Amino acid sequence: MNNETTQTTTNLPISANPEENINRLKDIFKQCADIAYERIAAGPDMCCSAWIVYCESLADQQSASDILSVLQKMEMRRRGNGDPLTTQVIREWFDFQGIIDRSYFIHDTMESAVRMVLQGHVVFFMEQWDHAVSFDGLKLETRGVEEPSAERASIGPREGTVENLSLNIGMLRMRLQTPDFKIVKIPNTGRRTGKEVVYGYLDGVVPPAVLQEFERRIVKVKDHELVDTTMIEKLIQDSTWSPFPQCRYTERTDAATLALLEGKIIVMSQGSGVVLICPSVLVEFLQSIEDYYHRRAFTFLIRLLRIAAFLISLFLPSIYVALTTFHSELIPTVLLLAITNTREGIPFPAVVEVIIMEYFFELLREAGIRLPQAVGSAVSIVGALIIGQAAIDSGIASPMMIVVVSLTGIASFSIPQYNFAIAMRLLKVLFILLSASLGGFGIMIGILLLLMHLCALRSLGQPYFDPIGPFRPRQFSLIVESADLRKSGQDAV
Amino acid sequence: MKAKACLIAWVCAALMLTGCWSKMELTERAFVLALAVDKGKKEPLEVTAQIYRPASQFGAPSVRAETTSFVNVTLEGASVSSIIRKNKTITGRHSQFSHIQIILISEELVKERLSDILDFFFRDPEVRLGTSVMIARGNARDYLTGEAMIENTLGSQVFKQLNFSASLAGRAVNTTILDLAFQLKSESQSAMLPLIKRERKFQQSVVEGIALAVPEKMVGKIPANKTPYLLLLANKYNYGLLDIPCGPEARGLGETVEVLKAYSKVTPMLKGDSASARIDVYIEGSAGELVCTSIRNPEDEARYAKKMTQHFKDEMESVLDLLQKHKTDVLGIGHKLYLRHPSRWQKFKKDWPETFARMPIEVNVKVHIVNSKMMSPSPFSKIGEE
Repeated sequence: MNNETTQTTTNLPISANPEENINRLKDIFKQCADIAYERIAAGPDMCCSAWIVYCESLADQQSASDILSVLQKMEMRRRGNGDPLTTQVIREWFDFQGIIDRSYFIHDTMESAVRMVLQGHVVFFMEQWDHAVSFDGLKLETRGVEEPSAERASIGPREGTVENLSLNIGMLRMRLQTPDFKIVKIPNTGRRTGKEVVYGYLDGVVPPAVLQEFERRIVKVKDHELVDTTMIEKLIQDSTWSPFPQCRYTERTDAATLALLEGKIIVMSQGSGVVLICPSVLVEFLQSIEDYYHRRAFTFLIRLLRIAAFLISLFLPSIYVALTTFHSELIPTVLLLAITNTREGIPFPAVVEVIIMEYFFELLREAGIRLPQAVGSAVSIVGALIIGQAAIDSGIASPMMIVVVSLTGIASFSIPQYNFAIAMRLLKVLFILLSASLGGFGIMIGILLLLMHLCALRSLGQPYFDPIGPFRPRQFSLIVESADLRKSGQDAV
Repeated sequence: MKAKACLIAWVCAALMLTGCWSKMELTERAFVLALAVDKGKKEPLEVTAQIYRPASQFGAPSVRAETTSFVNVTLEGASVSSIIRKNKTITGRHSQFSHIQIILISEELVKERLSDILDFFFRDPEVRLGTSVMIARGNARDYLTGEAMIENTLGSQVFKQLNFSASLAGRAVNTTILDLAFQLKSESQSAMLPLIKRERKFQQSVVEGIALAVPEKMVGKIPANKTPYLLLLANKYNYGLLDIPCGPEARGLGETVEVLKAYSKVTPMLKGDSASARIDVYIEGSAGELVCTSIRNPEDEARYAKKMTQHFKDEMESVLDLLQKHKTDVLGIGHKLYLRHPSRWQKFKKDWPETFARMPIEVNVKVHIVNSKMMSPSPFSKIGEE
């Protein structure tokens, strides 16, 4: 109801009479206590007057007073020339000379004026002119540039993105000083959240087909309410039901730069420090920014470690269940005897045991994320007791199971991309159920289904399982090494 | 959509079904670690299974420490499989044979029958073909009772003894079920099996010596002191010490040579209707302990090597005499002959054991001393004295 009235009034043009405009704005901003309306005038007879409108909670009071100097300049000109201020004169002045020492925007509809007020601009209406002028007076406090806590690296720049979009773009621009680095704004009409969304790419490096596909999908963003950049993923992803994320995120400017150099498209929005990188393929989720900074041999080893972590976090509990309940002959004798020792006296079958312990673990993880830091440490202490010694002593779980569950957990932590680790957690449960019902045969069925899914999955039309999915042995180095940036963009040509 | 939902429901239901595979928790299985096959008192066979008894995690540690970690189940019956299947009536758990480490068969029984006892182990899918087989002097069961020296169970104790005796001492041969099958099925039709015996004096079991067997039964034994030479001839010697007696004047003292590398090659020869064979043995070793020899210069070393060569040759020839006496071609000469001359082999095949017993076998031994420690004289050695 309210929405409709706002819509109808904002479509109106700006009237030459400021009072009329103000009345309309007051109508639009009904019950909005933080909108300030002021009438200011300059000159000896107060003849040069204007109405300013701004959002008190966003705009700086000082900016409002800047307008007074504008009016004074106008007044001086009027007196110098002796001409009365006509519409023509004001327009020319704004169009060609500029009267304020900061950038300003001229609006001719109420709608854009309203938006500017809501973005922290100071908008003012001159007498005898059917346009509004606005300039940025945003004074909102933002976080300083600091190292992103979610993506720590032992080496490399410590610079992370902040919630201010133009600052983020600036930091990227500093790293990519080429006109090929394009930043495209997406019009955001029709959204209440009114966030500015931009996407960037490196022209000549990004494959044109990918860019075209991306642009076709990103158009949808203007009809969706956005609070964070991560919400854009839902608009551009290929498969909704896949557990695998098809975009990755970073808060590091160097990671975003490298993604651009590799021919990716990045998406950023005002008010969020998250940079979305798309299209993303599976092997990229196993890479960390440090891979580019370390020596090659070390990168190779670390990649192998992560691939192992990926497999462990996916398969270890299910393999344990399959081996102990179906294929005990596959376990080496000494290990088997050790496991039988630990299993003796446990009342549950292995599968129930593993599900209980995984549940405990997920519970702890969830509790640890939500709670404030002070209480969070209490959770980890209690958790260590429950999942560790107490569970063994009370006969719920065997020590071997604790090892399996905690190893799985640690392995999933070592995957650099959090959203990818979530996929592992989901699939892990499916694999446990499969192995509990069919043993190694079930795991094989699961792996085949998983491979089928991965080979069919696309990210912005690009094969997700590349270079394994479309079998490209020459590209296998991508799995264990950081990408060669000199070669990037060859696909585009 | 309806089809998809249907499919998912079917798959989920299928997962709930019981399959014909062996789903069983570890706590429902009894792991057999060793088997002892003896001659029964009333029935033809008596089989003892050593089953691992898991130590529960609960309860005071002192209670846990006192219990042994295995139990023996002995049953009599007509066949190995029927006895083994009866096990669960006693243990209350399903016996799992995949982790058997050793199968002990008593000498008494093996002297009567061999192949048909082992038939079950060839056929059963659970038993690994890599399981070692050993002949036990006396009751095989006795070797599985009592307390293990170091290992958890006596089964693994005996298995480890065999393993190290074969690989690092050169006093036994590790014969698995598969090896046995190959040897008995080959044209030579004879096999070597390790022996275990109990030393009365010190109350300990020793794995040394080799039993000679033909498919039907065991026919003879190679004593422990001759075992290394048989292994050298059969190219199965890995590492160990060889004794060299000092001579009659030295009150039975002996020296040793440490064998670092040894290999042999059997070359069968066929001239007309007579078969013969040549065995080249190469031994690379270093002086292990010198008591009655002094090595001062390369000439001494050569003399030392020559003495060893002669001694080894004598020993090997005596081993060959034993083999020919028992008519067991465990060196596989017959099989090699068959591979070389498949058509002419048919003539020999019928009475090969007789032919083998009579055929001349030439042994060439070459000893190479790689390290006599000549350059580092030490106060106790006779190397480099004066």
